Amino acid sequence: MSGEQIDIIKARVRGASHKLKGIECQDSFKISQMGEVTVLAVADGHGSDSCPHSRTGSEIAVNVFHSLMKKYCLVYSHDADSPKTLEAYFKREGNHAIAKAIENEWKSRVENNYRKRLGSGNLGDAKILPQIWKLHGTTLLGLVITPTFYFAFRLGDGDLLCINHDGVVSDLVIDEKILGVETHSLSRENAWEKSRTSTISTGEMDVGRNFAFMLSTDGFSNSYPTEEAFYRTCLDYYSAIKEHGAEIVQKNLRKWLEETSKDGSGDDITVLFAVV
Amino acid sequence: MAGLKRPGGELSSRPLHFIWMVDCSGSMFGEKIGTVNHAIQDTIPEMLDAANNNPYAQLLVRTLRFSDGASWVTTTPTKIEEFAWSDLEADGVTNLGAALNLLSAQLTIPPMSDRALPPVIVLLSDGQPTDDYKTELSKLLSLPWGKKAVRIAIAIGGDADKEVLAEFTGNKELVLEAKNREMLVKMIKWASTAASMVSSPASQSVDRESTAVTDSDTPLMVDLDTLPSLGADDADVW
Repeated sequence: MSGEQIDIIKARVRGASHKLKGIECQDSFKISQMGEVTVLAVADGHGSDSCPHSRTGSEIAVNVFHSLMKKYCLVYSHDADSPKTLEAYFKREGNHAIAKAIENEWKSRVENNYRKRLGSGNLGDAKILPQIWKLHGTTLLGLVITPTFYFAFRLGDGDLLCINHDGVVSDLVIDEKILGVETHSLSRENAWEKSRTSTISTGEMDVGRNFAFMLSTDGFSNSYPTEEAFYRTCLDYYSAIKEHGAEIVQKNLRKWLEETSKDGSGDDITVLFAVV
Repeated sequence: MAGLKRPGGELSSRPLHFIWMVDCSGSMFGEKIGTVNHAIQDTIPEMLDAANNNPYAQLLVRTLRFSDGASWVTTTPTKIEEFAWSDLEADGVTNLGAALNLLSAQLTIPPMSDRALPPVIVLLSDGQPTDDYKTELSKLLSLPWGKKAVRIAIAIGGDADKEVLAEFTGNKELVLEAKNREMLVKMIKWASTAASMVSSPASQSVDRESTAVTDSDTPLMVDLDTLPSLGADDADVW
């Protein structure tokens, strides 16, 4: 896929139930391109009463993912061996050093942000730090697209899918399904242990010439009665992109997601497509 | 092309199953079962109002009775808009195990959806189980939705086995004591509001430390501060 254009389609809508209750949207997303590398991230702040700063937490999460991925990927085009070295590093350290770095950087930025906002001095008391992290609880989904490999990161709920031209929808990172309204969170101690990653060589993916990645918060999938209905819907979105073009879908996406939240889960919904 | 139709299938709010599980043994005969019948009937309009205020959860109600064996009074999950209470009669023994067995069959996936909100189960009993409830309770609590369900019990009168009910709820605070008619009405009314507490939840971190009030695996999704106080209503005791 070297040198090929990646179309990005994106939208975030405030949940219908959040509008009803006057609650802000707690989802955040960020997309950036650095040479041949594209980085996408989506985060869903928990929004429960015990997490009043979860919107800030989700913003920090997507920023942290971008900062760290950019730092790692700076070496991507350094020389002919760099992509292979980098891919090997992601494969080896995705669930360890990289996941720990994401957790540590998020917690550090959360503490700094909280200190600035409250003007409080020393927050170094280990007893209160977990409480501060909890106030900002969020999930995080991230994807790095390079010409030679893909790196997918998940901590918490939401969907990170690949949709191919043959109508196959597959999870990029498999994780345990947690029933109800609970999710893994960056705010937990040793949150990195609950993260899941996958690093896939472009040659390994049997997806044909055209395909799309999709990142979405759980408000999207929870608006459909079954997993099958949700996957069919993802495929329908991809078909709409192929039939009408990315620009037309982009124009309509926000309206469709508003309708999805209103007649579905009522939750905030963020959806990003990267069409390769 | 800006007016393109939304891709994808039919949308759906998340189902919320609410189950009344009622002891209909002989000791419930008379005022106790009469009060249960009237009080639950009276909660329906309030549950309907709460459901109308939250269109993002689909409240499905049904009733499970147990005495000599157990059976579903409402055979399928029924929308609160269509739910009608059928008066229960009391006679026989207390086959709680048989009721838990029927409950387990309905809390597996399928027929339960993995996209549902945590189900709410309210168990009302005035006595002690007469069958092997332990095996069936353990089976229920081994199910993903069995563990996640919000389990509330109402102990009716002084003979109710509160230890057994606490085993069911996994949390002694969720065993509500109703020593007389007035308290039973209040507790049934409070339990019915659990549906609205569960129906509009925000996501929360899997964090057992934050749920220290409960000794179960379930996040405490109901507000115990709103529980009716025992007050002076304990004048007439069953």
